[in-house]
Amino acid sequence: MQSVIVIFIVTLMVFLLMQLVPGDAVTNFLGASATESQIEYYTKLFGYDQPVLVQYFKWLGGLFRGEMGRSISLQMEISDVLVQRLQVTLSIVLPAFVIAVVIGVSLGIVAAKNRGTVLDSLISVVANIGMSMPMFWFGLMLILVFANILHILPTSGYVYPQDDLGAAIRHSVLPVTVLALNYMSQFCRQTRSSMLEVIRQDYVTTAKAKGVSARTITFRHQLRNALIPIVTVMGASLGAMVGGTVLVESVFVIPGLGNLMISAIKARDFMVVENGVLVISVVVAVCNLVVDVLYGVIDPRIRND
Amino acid sequence: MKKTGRAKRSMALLLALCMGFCLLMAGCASKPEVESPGTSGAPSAAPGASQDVSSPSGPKQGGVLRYASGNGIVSPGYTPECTNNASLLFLTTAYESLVTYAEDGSTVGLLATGWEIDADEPSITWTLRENVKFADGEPFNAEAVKRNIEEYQSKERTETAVITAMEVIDDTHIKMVLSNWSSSAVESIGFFVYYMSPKALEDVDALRTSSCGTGPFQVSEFNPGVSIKYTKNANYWQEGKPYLDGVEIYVVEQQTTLSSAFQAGEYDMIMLADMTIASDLMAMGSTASGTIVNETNTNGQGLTICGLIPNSADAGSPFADARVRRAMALAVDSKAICDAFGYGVYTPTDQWATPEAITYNTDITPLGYDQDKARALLAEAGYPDGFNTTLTVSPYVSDYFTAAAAMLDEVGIHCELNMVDNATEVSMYSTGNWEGIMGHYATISPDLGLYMGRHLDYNGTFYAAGIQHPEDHMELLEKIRASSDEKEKLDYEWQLQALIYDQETGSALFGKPLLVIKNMYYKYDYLKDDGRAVCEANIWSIADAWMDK
Repeated sequence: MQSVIVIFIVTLMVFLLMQLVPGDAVTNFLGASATESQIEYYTKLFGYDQPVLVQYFKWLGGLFRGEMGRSISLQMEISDVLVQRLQVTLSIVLPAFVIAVVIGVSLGIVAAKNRGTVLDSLISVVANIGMSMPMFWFGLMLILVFANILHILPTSGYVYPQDDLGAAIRHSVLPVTVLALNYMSQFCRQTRSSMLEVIRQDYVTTAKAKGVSARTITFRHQLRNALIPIVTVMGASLGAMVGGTVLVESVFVIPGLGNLMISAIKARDFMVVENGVLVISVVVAVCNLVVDVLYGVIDPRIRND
Repeated sequence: MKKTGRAKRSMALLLALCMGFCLLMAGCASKPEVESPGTSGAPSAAPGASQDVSSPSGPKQGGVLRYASGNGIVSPGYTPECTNNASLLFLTTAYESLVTYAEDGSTVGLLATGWEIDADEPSITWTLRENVKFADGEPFNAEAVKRNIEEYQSKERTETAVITAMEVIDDTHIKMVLSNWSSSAVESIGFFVYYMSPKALEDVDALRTSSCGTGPFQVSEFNPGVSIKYTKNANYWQEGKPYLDGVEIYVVEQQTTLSSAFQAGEYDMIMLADMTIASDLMAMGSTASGTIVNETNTNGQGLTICGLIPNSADAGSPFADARVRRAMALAVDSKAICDAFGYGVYTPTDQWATPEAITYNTDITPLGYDQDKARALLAEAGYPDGFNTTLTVSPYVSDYFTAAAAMLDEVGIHCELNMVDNATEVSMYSTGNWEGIMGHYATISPDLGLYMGRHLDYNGTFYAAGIQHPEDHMELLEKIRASSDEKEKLDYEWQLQALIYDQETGSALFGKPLLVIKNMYYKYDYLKDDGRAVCEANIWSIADAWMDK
């Protein structure tokens, strides 16, 4: 219920704020040479002549009927466009997320277990570089190295896996790497710090004294107890990745949700922006829900509460 | 334990190697040397010079042309909704109009083989090309023309608003009766209406994402905002053409990525908007894919003109006074700006035309560059200490407008730069709602009556609401439009240029035209054409294009 209220407030705020942005969708669609009668025709056709709140509640009513409306800048049903673009974004975000989780958490564990050593310092340096390096710049550097110098990967573009799986993978390598590196660094740092908090707990010492294997201590006793903050960061990151891939999509010319939102904002296609925000809000809400469920799985005491 | 230590060392070494490799490769990447403006040793494809692309072996059949630019299209198949200049490239790939432009900028028949003008009635009778079919096999005839004009009129298109009646004489002749005569009518009706199959028009929604014209290629795949793919039209009327099997057009807004992809050979041709990146490409000269050619023209067709347009409609604005507008024009050194930022692609101009265009009046004494005179004019107008104002520009063209602002500052016109995105800019100049000066950036047309009408008319759509409409200017514009004699029309066009930009008498109504930007289309030398240039913005003669590789 809380999530539904949040989503409602977010969409209402976006709708109202977009009205304050100078420029309008019809003039932008028709171009500056449009006549008054042309503008009037399309303004009525898309319902922009109605009061803002009427437009908003009409849109809201349409959602209950499963209709998101029609995009003026794309001349397509918005639901069709969003489904298509969300699939593209997820095809980049999910592999990046999995890679970031696997490598980030592993490196965090290694760093924590080797606290104060050269390896720990090295991992921390890499993590800091990963976090501080602008994705935009890193993406361009990767294009320069792997496409323009080594000629082993394409510079940009997107290929649907069903069209050509090999080409799809080749086109995804660089964007997934850029996206994964930033989040991998965050997961690594969070895992390290959470692990360090539990590493010297009494129950760990007891497990060691009982002769429990190092692997079991690490994964069953230490990592499991350190997981709550890590999962919290992961949940927030997944939501942020879906809504925040715009830089990566822009550099690598990926027709995803981020690129769609930017184009829609430029074209003042408010209905696409509104529906895009709705989709992102739902994704974030679902991520939070999954995190809440995972808390109970990780720590049964939370479930019992 | 020993094994664990070795694993740690291996992992550390691997990480270090990865980092080092990336940094080394980035460091080794050689930045192309950018030539200083004015130095010799121009890139192999000198901008402004036509490229000799003829091949002794003649045109080759086959191949798919891959072209990329930052411009997309909304509905490539339903032509009345394609209203801006960027659409022309897509339109002319699948569709054709009654007339097109020859390389010298003159109007020539395409789907029409001729036309008769009766300026008294007034009317135009078109003779249509025979044996032309739409991609779906439907014949192109007078009925099809009538149906398309009606479709354009139902969408309130200005180009067809002047037509009050149509009479189908026979399959190849149609008479259009006009509400009033305009010398731009042939160009307006002839070039800006793109003919769709009447059968395809029965399902407009389907047509929006496909195409059904008489053009050399037809849409085979459309991904809005991403790409559009065309395949050869089997029913194309020009024998042996098109040479290519297909055309793929990609939308790549990020200019650095666009340039990198071109260099990597992923595209055969691109259009750049960023001058710095374009200059890097020109300096590079060639890549593993071939020699880079700057596809350009000089006839004024489809070029971009930039200038400073002050809001003169606001009676409280200093720019309502012609002396202040003249001072503004005199304060800016167009040549210096072109030398500094143009890399040979910019041409200074002092009229609303490129110096090579037919409508450029060579008899005019230009306003020129004279800051002392500018200061004197400002003092005479009551601004001896100058004044503060705003200069609104879009980010892509901010460099030279920043320079112009600095020059204006030297004479006392202190500009605060206001950077806005395209939609805001369109909103400002279409409503006249801008304060101070607007940085103008638009495609120019050699037909001054058509082009200036958008500004000068009381209800013009470009800047018109923000500028004055003096009687003498309006009268000349009407004379240009009413003229049915090309020579007479040209004479009036030259008079209008003088009225606006002459040193002694001009009103400087449109402030200061700064420069003309030649097309920043880049292609590899293996992409050739059979006669005209492959792409000159308004003339995308894609049926003539072929690839020698």
